[in-house]
Amino acid sequence: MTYRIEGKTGTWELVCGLEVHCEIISNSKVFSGASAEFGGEPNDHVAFLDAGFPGQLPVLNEKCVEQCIKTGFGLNAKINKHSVFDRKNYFYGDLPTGYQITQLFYPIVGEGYLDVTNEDGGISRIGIERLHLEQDAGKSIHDMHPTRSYLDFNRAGVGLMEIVSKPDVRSPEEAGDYLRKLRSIVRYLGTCDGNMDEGSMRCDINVSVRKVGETEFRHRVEIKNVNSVKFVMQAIDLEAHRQVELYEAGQTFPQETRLFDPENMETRSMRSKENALDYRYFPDPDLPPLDITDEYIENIRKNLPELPEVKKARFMDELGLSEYDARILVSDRETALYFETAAKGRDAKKVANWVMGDLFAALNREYIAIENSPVSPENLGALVDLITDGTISGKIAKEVFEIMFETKKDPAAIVEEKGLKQVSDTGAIEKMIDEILAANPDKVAEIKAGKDKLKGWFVGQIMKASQGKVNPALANQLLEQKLKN
Amino acid sequence: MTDLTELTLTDALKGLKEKKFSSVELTKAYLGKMEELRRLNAYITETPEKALQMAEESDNRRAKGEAGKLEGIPLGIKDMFCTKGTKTTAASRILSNFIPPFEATTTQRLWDAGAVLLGKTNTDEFAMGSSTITSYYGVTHNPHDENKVPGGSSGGSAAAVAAHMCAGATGTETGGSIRHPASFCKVSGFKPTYGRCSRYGVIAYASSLDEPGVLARSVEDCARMIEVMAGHDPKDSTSSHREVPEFHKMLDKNIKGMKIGIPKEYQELLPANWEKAVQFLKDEGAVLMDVDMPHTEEAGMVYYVISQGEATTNLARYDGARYGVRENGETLDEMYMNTRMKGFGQEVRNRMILGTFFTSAKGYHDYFVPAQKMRSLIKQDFDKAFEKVDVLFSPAVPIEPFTIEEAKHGAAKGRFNDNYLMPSCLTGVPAGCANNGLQVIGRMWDDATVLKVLDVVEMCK
Amino acid sequence: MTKIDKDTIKEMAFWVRVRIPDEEAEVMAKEFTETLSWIGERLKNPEIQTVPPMVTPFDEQIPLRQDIVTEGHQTAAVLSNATDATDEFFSVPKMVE
Ligand SMILES: [Mg+2]
Ligand SMILES: [Zn+2]
Repeated sequence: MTYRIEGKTGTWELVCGLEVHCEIISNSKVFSGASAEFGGEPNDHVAFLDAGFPGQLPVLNEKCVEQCIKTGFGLNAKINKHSVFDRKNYFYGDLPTGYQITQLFYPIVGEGYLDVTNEDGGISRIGIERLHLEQDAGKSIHDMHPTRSYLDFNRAGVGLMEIVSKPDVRSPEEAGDYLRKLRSIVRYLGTCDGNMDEGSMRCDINVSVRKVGETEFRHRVEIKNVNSVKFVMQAIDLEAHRQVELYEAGQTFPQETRLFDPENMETRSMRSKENALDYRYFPDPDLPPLDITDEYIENIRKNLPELPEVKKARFMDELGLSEYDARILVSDRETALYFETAAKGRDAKKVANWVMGDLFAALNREYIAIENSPVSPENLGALVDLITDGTISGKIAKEVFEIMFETKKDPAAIVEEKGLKQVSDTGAIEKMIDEILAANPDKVAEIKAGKDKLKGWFVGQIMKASQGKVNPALANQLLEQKLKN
Repeated sequence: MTDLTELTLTDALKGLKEKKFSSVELTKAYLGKMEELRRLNAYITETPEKALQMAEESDNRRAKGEAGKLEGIPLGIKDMFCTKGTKTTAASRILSNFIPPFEATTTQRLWDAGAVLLGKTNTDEFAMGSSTITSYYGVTHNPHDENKVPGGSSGGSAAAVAAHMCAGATGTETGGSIRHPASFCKVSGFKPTYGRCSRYGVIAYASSLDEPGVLARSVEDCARMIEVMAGHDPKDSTSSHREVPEFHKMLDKNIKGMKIGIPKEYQELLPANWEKAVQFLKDEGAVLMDVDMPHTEEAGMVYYVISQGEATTNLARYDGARYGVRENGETLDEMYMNTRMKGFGQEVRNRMILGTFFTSAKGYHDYFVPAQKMRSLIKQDFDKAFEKVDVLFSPAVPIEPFTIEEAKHGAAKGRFNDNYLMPSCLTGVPAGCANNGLQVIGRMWDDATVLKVLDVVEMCK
Repeated sequence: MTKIDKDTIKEMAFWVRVRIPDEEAEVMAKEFTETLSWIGERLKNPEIQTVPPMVTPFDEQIPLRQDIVTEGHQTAAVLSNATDATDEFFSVPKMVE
């Protein structure tokens, strides 16, 4: 169902763009040598530059440049060989120099796109306007003292990629999938950990609405710093409805910045002062422009990891997985890595079933991330091998899996220890069958009279007597022989 | 013993080397002079204890045969350079309690070469001015006439050098702030090519113009200091990788056949020694010729727009939150306003307000960018001139120092009157002023030739 | 022509967080308007359209730093100049959202 808002005066559509800030994964900050690691004691990961001391100068971290370019490739975007650092000027407690170093006029990455799944199950292409490199601000803490705010500059100067989409988003679902795709890509690339709870990925949303059929944009409202996919979708829906209601009531509203309040499910206006700001951008004279060569860019491209879309296609073409399975297995880098390790040299379809079945169920049950799975991918693969070569039955395998999940042991050891190996000694099985047949002469007579269905009952009895250790195919075969005699 | 402060830096080095006196003795002599002439207010902060300790360490090194290039030489440091553990104020109330926890690269190199810190010299507040009267610590007096200003903004350094209160001093130029006071105080001053000396640890005024440099009693003294301070610094992204020659060894007093251009536009006002100096250079075998620098007149205006625009954002960090003098307020904005209102003097505040306009969306588009284009035209003037000549020659500041009274009533504010100095700041070329008020400007990175010619110019008394 | 009035001056003063009394702002506005008009005339020079803006005299490539931690773990030094520091934080009047 295409996302539409039915109003009194007609049908409205959403016009929405997203600005996502991704904290770059790097050892040190973008312009200083302080650690970029999350956490730490207050003001510990702070170089003098990060606290805005006089005479301190920025020096660009090569890793941050590389991470932006990698991400640019992930967004199918143009890498700009010439980019420039600008100062964005405003006063705030968490901004130690009174300006943020960012890129306004010439960003490092230009136009690109992401394909997302829309609410109709189809594909929508969301244009990327740009990706630029900038510094994060520090943290201000307001709840430790009634009249004071406390400032911590550990995050100040950590590298950020700001990824700006075109106003191509037409539904909350598209926005949600855009964010999930983006997160998946940066995680695959290792450029950002994509953690929205810890703020390493943050989203600003530009929302406007217009009557279906209109081609011009009406004015937009920016919703700042929404920190989960769910909230982003809710905020968009709420804001779009608010705007439609205002238009339909004949009211005007300002082009402003608002905050999303998930508790009261509303968006609220921020101080109007914020809205009137002229950030007075101009090129930072402390940093020469960033000029990079084709060779440099090509080197990064050559070493890119396989991206989710490509991996998915390969899973389908080479491993014969269904579209559904492939999509699930590539949805994040860790799952794909787990699957590929487990499936190496094995029947991929069987391994996929185990990963998406028993493994996912157990991980979900215990709230464990796949990279911390107690069953290693190597061990899961070994379990599949034991089924394939007939050492254990599928039923026993499920039991073994649960023990593996609890003990982290490898499956062969568990099978050995618990004596779960399938019985393939025909003598022992024949003896077992003889006993069962002898105990049920009436049923044997019925089979001989043509009631074939009862054979299944006998197999069941054999399995029960052997506690599942008999290979069912073998049991069947021997039963047939005995009944013929 | 004769007064050791009479020696130039070069001669003092020689005396130290020949063990005629120790660094402690030399340092004590300078500390004595500083005390005697404290009324000139050349220093904001004197560091006698540190000086004596450093001098003693220097003597020990020399005894062990580990003498550096400036071993035992007592220096004044403009209070725009951050000195670790020693108060650094930029002559502003807002930094009047600031003790840097780090050292500027250029001063670190001076200490590594064995130099001794005597104290921090006075300047216009945040180096904004050309008379050293906007200092929170009061005006510096010109040693040659105490009713007059020393020029600025490196006025404290120039006065200290002129009055023998140090063997040499550091300065910074943004719009002529080394050559101007050098000229007013009749000492030598040198501003190397932009990018030669690291700006790390130097309090910023306008980043694309700021360049650390030196003032001393002779060109050779300047050359010895600058070759220690210059050179690539990984902490400054605008610091050049180019090799630094041993400048003082290149002063061979031979300018035979050298082509020296005299910009027509730099001859509107000429000092009394001008004709004699021109003749002197001819006699030394130089070829003198007129050159055109048609955009000279625009330099002051371009400087006005760009320096204020950049300064506004460079000074945004002084908000009382993390360092510096804080004035409390109910809200954060109130604290900022109170701190910055009381912390900065009026000249600085005014420049920040106007600078805001030049970086605003409208001001940037209508004035800042066009001014940067005009800056390109001024650079073209230099490029064209240097196709014909090796260096340019002119007076530095073609007027006599004004009195402190005049300066306070705005004489120094004659906004665009540093036209002989500003074009070389905007373009980043090396330039120096000899102790007779005459200046030499050279090609980018050709600091050596500027010093070499200046060394000859200085012989013309 | 750019006309700067008293209110613009006062707004710009707020942008850089300083205050300026009305009378001073009035004078500054008048002087600044004149200066701008003079500068504006000079910048009309058609020659400037033939050249790019010069941002800096520096002509070398931007240096890139290796991604290694070289600084930090110096909280005492970072806080040493603070007027008000509490529990390793800088303390300021409550910031309002
Ligand atoms: Mg943004
Ligand atoms: Zn941003």
